[in-house]
Amino acid sequence: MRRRLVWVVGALAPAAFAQEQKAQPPPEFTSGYAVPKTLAPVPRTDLWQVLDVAVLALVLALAARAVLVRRSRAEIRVLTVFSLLYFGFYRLGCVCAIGSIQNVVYAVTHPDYALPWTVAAFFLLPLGVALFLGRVFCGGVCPMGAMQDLLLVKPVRVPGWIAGSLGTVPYLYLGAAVLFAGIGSAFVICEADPFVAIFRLSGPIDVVVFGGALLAVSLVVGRPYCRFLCPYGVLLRWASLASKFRVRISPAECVNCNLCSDACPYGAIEPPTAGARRPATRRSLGLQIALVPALVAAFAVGGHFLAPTLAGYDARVRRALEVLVEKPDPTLLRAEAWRIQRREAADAVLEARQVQAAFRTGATWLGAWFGLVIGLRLLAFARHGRRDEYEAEPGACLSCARCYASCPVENRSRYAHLGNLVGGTR
Amino acid sequence: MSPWTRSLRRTAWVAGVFSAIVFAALVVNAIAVRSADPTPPTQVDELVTRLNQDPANAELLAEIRRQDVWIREVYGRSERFAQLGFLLLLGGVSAWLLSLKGARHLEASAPRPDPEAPLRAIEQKAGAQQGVLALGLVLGGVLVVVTILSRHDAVNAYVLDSRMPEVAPAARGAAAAGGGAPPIAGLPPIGAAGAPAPGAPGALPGTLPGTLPLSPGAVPGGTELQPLPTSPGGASAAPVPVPPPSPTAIGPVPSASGSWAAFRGFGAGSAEGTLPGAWNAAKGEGVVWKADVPLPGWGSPVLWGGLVFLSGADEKTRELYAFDARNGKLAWRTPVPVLNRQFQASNDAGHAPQTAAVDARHVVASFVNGDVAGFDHAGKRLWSRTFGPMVNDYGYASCPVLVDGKAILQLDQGHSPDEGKSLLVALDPATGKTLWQVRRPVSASWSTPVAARIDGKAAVIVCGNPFVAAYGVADGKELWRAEGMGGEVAPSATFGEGCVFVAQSGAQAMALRATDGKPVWTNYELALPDISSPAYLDGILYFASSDGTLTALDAKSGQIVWEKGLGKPARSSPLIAGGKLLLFDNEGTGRIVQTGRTFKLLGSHPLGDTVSASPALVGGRLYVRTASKLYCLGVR
Repeated sequence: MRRRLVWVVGALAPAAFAQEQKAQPPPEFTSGYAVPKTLAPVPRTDLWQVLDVAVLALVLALAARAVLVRRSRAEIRVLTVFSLLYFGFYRLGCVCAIGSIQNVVYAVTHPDYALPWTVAAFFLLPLGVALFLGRVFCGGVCPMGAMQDLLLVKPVRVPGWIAGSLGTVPYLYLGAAVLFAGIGSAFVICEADPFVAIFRLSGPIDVVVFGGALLAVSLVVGRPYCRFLCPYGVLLRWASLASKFRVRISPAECVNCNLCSDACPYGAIEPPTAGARRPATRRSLGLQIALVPALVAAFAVGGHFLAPTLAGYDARVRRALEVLVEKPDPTLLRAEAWRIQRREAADAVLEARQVQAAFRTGATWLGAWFGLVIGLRLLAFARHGRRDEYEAEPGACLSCARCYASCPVENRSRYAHLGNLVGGTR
Repeated sequence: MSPWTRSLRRTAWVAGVFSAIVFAALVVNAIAVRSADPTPPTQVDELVTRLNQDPANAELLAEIRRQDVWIREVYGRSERFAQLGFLLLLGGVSAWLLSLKGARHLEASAPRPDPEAPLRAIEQKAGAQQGVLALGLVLGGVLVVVTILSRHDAVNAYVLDSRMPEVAPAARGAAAAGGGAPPIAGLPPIGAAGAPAPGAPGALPGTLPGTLPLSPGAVPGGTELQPLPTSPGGASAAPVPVPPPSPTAIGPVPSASGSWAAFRGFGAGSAEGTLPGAWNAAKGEGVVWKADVPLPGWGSPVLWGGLVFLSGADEKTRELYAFDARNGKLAWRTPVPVLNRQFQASNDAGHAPQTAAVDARHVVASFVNGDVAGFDHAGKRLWSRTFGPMVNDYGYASCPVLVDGKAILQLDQGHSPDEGKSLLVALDPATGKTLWQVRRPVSASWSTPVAARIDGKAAVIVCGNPFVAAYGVADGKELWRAEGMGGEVAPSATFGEGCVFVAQSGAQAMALRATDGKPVWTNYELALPDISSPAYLDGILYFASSDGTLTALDAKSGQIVWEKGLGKPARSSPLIAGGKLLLFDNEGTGRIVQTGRTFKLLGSHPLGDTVSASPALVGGRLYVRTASKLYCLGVR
């Protein structure tokens, strides 16, 4: 064991020392002042990038095994702690699968941008796994989910109207993030990341307060960020809808004992529909279907009018305005930098106008997306699929393995060696 | 409760209280750091500036070092405190969580069946549907509110609406013309590219580089002028009889006593009062005072409340000046930032070819590159913005005009009318925000809007290529439009007898009915002005061509009353007051001519310096800008 440890340390030491590099030659002081040794970190070496992706793949595999094969909440808990420590506090929350959406979108809209393969891997691996095995990434790998999950002490049931309205937000957030990243305005997911400041022990006060508030809510509401904000969760939800080997509450046939109905703190368990009344009539369903294109059109128009406001948040537009009207943001110096570079105000305006033109188109599409999401979500909640047993809703299940413990069928097989002490007969 | 559970609960309490204390300390630290910023950058900057002036001052150096160390220490201390606190908080919260979760685990009861679950799931879905609907309504409302609010964000809208060319223009080289434009060394006068009017004595051959050679009557952009049927003398009546205009249909915008609010005043070349009798700058005769203007410019003086306003500029500096009208002392000079740097003015054009506009509270000045700025009468710059770069080969030279609380700017640009880049814009003189703007299908011009009251309502008459148009000041609505302009339009309009008069080399002289723009007569067989604008008095229209030919036309028929070569080229516009007409030639000699049906030269009075600007007349005193000075002429 000790030899193995020495080998690991020996292999990693050169990489650690390679991180030290002088930022720039120091000035030559004539007063005898000795410049302290200044160091700047170099970009993460390829070795570390490979390591990150390897750890991601490994933890994904272990999480899938823990949830689907071992059906062990304890193993998931261990992986959760590891992911929080490694991807969160050690890797400081970056690279992260959630933020990688923006890099991917930016790479699509900006062909001159080379998407780092690590980022591509972080984007694709969890989605690929979700396509076959469900949201295993959420269950044991995502450090942000891990932090909220570990904090959950006394889950309360979120009322339907809150879950419905807030559950729509991730779709809207995803649309906005795609728009801003596609235009090259901002990586809003990263800028508004509520937990990265906690991982790094430093950050803007508003982000820290937001993150703190979310964590406080996490004590009683299961994973509020994952359920009501996470844009990557939307993609994972879509992917896992197709998954064949996802979480099944019961390892064998469900006996519909109702014992698991409250087991999921995320409201992802759907009861059987047999015998339940169906409030949605064909007429109201038709009305709601007709409402979808109307909502798309109305929100598209709204989005179009919103374009100037959205464009106003773009740094290039702000800079052009600052260069032109001379009210620069004193904390940013971008207008000053533009002048110092002896660049023309007209160039700033031309650039800003291109951005604004992009926003005119993009915001219209964003509005249409908002309308589509709202319309389809209304429809989705009107629809009552037929279920004969308790199921983990494939899109919403976060693969945390909590529900297994409530299932008597699970317990029977797990504790079969104890004989008649636990549910030996049906 | 088992002993384990009890201890875990106690541990949770202790850890919780500990975490709360640490959290409170962190909050206090954060507030303290933010409220008492230890970094006094201005103080250190000031010390560094002083040290740069006195590098040998060891005491100063020590003080800077001391302050630097102190700043670092304070910053470092708060950082260390925050980091330590965060780690303690993390530990405390972890302990609290572990113990709490442990206790709950030990106390956990077995799951109980819930037969109501299926029904509850349906209620949840119905609730979720209502939630989504509510969210949709809220979002829709937010969209509407933000849309309404954002429409008032004029600053942001500016970049959206700014008529920036898609390709940076080569706005270089040639000189600008307009509210007093300079002579262009080595080039024929602006407007010579237009068709020389057949038989016109002042017509110049040749074309300017970059302009289209025109056939007679043609204008760039493919519009073919259709001269009206000509009677002997070149004048033509309208083909369809136009009812005679009502003499009261158009009149000047009321102007405050003792003011001269815009280029050529609100009388469009005619003024109340009398002209000074005579002057001779070299001998000091008739000169009340003269003052050096710090920076060059070709704009004319404007006056309000005893101050004379002028702009001046060179490549690096822009300034607005106010001189005391009583003694010529410089009351204030205010620098103006250069916003659009994508322009290189020629020495001939300069950077300040325009005349400022003034009203009771504001002064608005524009510059050759499309920059515009607003000031109060105390010289404080209120705002500045740019409409540049503009596609304008000589530079933007149209002057602003302040009417009814709106600063109106004629932003004509482009090489052909269908480029869609030209605008007429009204700005709030207090903020510079756009109040309205109208797109104009015209190419670049150098003319200035003329303020007037048409049928009792404030309007501006705007000359461009290929039409003259009148716009309401209140909302920018186009009142009428009259085709017939062409070439490089620099002269502005004048008015009287219910008519609007224009005269443009390369096109024609026209009388247009003020109420609807219908042509009353046109005449193109004349020595028409390139730059100088016409003036009107008592049934006669006067104008000067660039070669110095002064022409009087009958305002009712368009027939020549008299035509006289003064011998010297003139760019300045004629000023009529007290029945006399004053015209400065380019060499600075002012000729006073008796108005009326017979030409009579009353006198020639030299200033001895180049004059391209047009004079202002207030209280019997004449204010004239030369190449380097501002003169006040009259009786002391």
